Amino acid sequence: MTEALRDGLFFDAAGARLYGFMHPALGPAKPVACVIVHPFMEERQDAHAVLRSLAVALAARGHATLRFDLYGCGDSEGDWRGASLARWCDDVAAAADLLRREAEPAEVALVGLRFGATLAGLAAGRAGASRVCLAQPVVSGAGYADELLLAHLAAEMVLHRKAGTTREALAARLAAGETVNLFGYDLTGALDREIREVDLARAMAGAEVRALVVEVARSTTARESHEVKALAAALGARATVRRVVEPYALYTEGKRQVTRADELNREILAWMET
Amino acid sequence: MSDTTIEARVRGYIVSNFLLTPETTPARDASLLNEGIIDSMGYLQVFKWLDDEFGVRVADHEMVPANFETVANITAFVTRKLDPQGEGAR
Repeated sequence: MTEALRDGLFFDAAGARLYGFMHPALGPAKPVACVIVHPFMEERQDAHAVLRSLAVALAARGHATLRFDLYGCGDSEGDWRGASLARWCDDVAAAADLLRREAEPAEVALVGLRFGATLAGLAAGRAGASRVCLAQPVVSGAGYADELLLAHLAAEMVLHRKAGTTREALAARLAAGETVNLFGYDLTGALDREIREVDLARAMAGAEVRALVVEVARSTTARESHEVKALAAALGARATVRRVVEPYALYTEGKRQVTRADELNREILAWMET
Repeated sequence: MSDTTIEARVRGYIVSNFLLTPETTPARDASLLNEGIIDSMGYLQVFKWLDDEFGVRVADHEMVPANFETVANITAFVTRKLDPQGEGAR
């Protein structure tokens, strides 16, 4: 059931209402339509304008595009205490189904940024996607989970002049059934475990999809990402790998409000034509 | 890599990512915390940048203002991590 709501819409995914925003193809529709999968927490908000600009650009090239908020995120129902990777992958599949109903494309592509890219890769089979675009994907879930806990420590350092705990202690709290607050989101032990178990390179090794993997560097001097290299190696000939330099933060807070990522958009639009 | 080079890169990163105008560039000993120039999300970016640019990873116990409060603190921290024996400081 899809309920129109002015410019956006709500659709059902496993009993929860998810918020979406459809960008219909402008002009003759291309055979491939896109679902955009957002990154998480603060990165979702900070990347909003960038992903919107990508959706607008894709639609202008004839690719109907759906943006939506995953369960417990943004304007969708739910909270993180009830979230799981399986639940979020089902959300991606539900979004792809909605796009098929609304735009009737021959193929669906999933386009994700950061952990959204990870979900896109994990959900590709379930969503029936023929291609995935993974922008600065999280390949190692363990590394990402540590990064999330680091956010908690950074907040403590700023507020209390010292990180009063360690990631090891936070991990122990999670294992004991407590939650850890991350920028207002409650990370549960179950979700932490699921995230830590993610190895996107291994998960996608046998995936029958074409992939574009884009490493987003902040400068030409930034070191190459070992994670992207590992993912590219696992995907082999199915993957096109690109590195773009975007000098301003696309998905983290910065002094400059970035509203579009020209280099990233260019690579994705070009790949969609292949 | 000299302290001067490291400090220039640290200062350049902070100015280009967290400050509104070059005129507001903080003194090397000005508190980035007390001035509200960098918040917790900002420090996460700094930690990621240190890894990307210098291969320097921040351990939990190192997450204290003495290492990150000022441009001078960050420079000294990176210098120590890159050259724990202090060779580069001579």
